Amino acid sequence: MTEFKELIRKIVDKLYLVVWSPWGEENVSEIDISFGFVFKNEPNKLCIVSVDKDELWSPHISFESLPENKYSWEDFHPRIKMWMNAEDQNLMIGKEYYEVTNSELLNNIIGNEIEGIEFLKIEGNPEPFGVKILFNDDYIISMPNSDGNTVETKAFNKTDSIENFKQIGNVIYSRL
Amino acid sequence: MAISGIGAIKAGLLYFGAANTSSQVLSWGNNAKGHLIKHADELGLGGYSLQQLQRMIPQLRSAANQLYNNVIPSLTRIGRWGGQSDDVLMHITNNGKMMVTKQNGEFITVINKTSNNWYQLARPLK
Repeated sequence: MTEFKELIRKIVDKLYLVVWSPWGEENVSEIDISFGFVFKNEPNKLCIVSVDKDELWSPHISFESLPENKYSWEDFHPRIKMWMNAEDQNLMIGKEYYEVTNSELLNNIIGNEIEGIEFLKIEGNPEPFGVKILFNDDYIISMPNSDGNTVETKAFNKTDSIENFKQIGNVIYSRL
Repeated sequence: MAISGIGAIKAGLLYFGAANTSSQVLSWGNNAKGHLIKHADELGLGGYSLQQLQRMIPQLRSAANQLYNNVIPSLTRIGRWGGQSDDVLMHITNNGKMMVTKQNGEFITVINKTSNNWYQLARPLK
């Protein structure tokens, strides 16, 4: 978890969405999707904030080199719709990278500094289930769904997935 | 192809009624293909390329069913799971994995752990 603290004060230079092909998914909230950051002064490293895929509860950071194959923000919604429709059996299911640096929906994140990090916890339970990354005028919440991770920001992917956790107990935000 | 309606009910009945005397059969949602490919490693089919795995859905389903028939019933718990509106079943297999299903036996996921915070928060099924 100390890795999360190291994100504070970093500036987002490029932004990616990392998605497992949502073949046949009926709900957007069930898509396995995470944010990938390229920070200023670290141009060759993709920092992916997601869930620990081995246990599907805890927030997790991993690092990769920049993807050789990527889609654009303009591709995002049409491709997600295509996957969810699950019509073309020849489509190759796998991890996809969308560079969304030019998305207007996310322009309060791109070029901005991470001002703080909060862990999302259930009151009385010490293990955080998600993370909120704070920007001056936006945020990213990253938390588990059925078989992966989901995200939301002020204007993107507002699925209110946190409601699911409120059924377990009071959700508290614990500042790092 | 999803098993729904009577098929899903039958799968659920098989789970709850069969004890260990007959084979339990998972049911599959429309999204199962992607989840099975994602968890090929956990299902014992690691080492294949994504291209190969796309053509191995029957084998992946079979491997999942095999795991489902090797759960330790006394360790199964029922409780909340991320993204699910209803309680799910968390089954621990005898080779150290956790398979998560809906209560009607529909496959959700499988992980390489025998416990996590979801499991800790859940209650024993029996």
